[in-house]
Amino acid sequence: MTRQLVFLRLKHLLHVRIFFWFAAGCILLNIYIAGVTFKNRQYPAYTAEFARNNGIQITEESITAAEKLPDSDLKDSLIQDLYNCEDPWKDSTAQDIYNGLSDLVPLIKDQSLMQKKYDLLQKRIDTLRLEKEYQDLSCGSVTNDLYNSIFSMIMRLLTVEILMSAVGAAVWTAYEDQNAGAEQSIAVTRTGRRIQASGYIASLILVMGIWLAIGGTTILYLRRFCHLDSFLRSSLSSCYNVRLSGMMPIPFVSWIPLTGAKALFLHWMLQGALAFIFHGIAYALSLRQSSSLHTLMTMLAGAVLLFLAAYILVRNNAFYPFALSLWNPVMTAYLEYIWFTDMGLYSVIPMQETWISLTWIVITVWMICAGLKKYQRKDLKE
Amino acid sequence: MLRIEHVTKRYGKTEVLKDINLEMGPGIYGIIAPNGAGKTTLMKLIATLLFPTEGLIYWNEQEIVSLGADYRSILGYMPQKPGYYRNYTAFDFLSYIAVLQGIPHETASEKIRFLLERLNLDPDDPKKLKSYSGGMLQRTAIAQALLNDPQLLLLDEPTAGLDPGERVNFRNMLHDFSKEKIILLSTHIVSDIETLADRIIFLKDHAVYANDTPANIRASLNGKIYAVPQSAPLPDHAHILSEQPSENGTMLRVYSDDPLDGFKMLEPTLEDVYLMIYGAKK
Repeated sequence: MTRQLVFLRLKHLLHVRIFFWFAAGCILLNIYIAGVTFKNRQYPAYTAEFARNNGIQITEESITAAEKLPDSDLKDSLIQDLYNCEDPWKDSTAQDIYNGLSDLVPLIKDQSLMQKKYDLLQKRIDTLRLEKEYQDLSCGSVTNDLYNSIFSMIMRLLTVEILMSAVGAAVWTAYEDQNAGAEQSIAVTRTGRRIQASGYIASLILVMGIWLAIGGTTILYLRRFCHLDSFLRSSLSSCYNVRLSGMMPIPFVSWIPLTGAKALFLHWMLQGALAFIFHGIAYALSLRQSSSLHTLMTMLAGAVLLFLAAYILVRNNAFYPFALSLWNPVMTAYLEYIWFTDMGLYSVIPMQETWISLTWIVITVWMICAGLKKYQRKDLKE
Repeated sequence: MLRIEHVTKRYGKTEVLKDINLEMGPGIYGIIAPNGAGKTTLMKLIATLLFPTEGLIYWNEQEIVSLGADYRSILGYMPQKPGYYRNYTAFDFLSYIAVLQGIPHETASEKIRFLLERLNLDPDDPKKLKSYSGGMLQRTAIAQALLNDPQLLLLDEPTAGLDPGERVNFRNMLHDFSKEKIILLSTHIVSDIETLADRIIFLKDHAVYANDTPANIRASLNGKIYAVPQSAPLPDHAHILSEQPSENGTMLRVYSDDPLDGFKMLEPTLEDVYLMIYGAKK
């Protein structure tokens, strides 16, 4: 396989305008949603301004400074938020989270793996308290609302868009010659059966380009135009960021210290890893399946079965099979809104989503190698 | 030298080719069989597009699959339904194939121009392949198969879609090209290879039925082909091969193992052989 061939395959792909229209449509959609969600909200901008002048972390001086601000409803809200700032872990521990979750979901009760996970989480909570991360202002009382809008809506939408382009580009490229009816003419050439390797690399380059474009533009827009400075600079473990897990309020805690900006960046990186994985799986399947429809339906059916399996296993209290059933890229993508947290019943080890992604990167590389090898000895009937 | 040894191809329980044994040196070989007899499958097996269920194929005593790219670099193949990229010009398409064949850019441009001109196509034609006629596409596909100057050329129904003038041009071109090379040409149009092929291979019931020179194959029917008026009574053992209108009414071309006294004996043609093998009216 030569660089020239990868370049030529990429040229083929760049002529497929639908990828550009799709990427452009995604960018517009994301910007529109982000704009509608954040643009006209005054409080984040107000807290951002306050944090710029008085620092992110809330101190006794913060309240004094806030009281000197010109009178407004926003000022009242800010002062109320500042007074409400207290250590959310003062009266609770990681063990409490585990106990609360166990009561809601008997499946995880008395599981040593889970117990171990929450022991490790307590260490992180201790550090978090020591560093006083919970004292970050972020956007005060609207912090959790912003967190949900960004990570449960916009970033999830971004994941769907990136994964769709990954699968689309893989399937289009893998079947390009077949759909043109040129597969046989190509396969009998010197490069012939190795053509799919260059197709894989070319489509991966395109996918990564789309990932950079859609993700980069969306994140840049959030950073530059949505007045989220304070949220992005603050720790996500701010005392105002309390999420609900099985209707139980849990202060946000992540395995590593995360500011809003760092979390956005890490989500984007993990989306890139998932794009690599989904693209690779789609490509490897395409090398075995007879048509693009077969490949797409196989992937769709596989995703549905994974959800079904997880649902059945949790209902039947099969802890280990359930824990195992989560070790796939589909469930990982689905659980984006709780990435880097303890993930409740959805993980058994710290940073599970990252480990799953790394595992699947290895599996994907193996699948691609096996698929390319298989293609060398595949009957090309039509 | 191409050697096919006990090659069988099955899809599930369906046997598409059974126990094929062939040996080919330089020359033009015609495979004749009706549609569905396994011609294309045999071509694809030689082209390594399909893999035998049983048996092996050798090129110069080396198994072709293990030869891989080295084998494909001496191979030219024109599929039965040649595909193309709709938005390419013929020149672009052949340039792409040249890259896949590992032909250096400078050599490739020259070669593409030569082939396109030889096949009455304009190398500078800016028209995309999607606007080409069937004949033009067919000629582009022929050029693609000849691009790497192959030692083994496989042409699956190459003349389908060509007009009579183009067919003659194609035959002449093939004749010029054939020196020291193996050309395997599959067709169900007998006239395409009657004058061209050094040997003819008939496939029947998914196996090789006959493999000989055209002269020997025709000779097998010597003294057995007659011209008989339609109105004349025919013995039961006679087979009608074809009908032709003439000044004296419709004349039948008839095959008979026993002499038909009083009727004109004719020179057998390959078409007679074809009709006898694949079924003639009794």
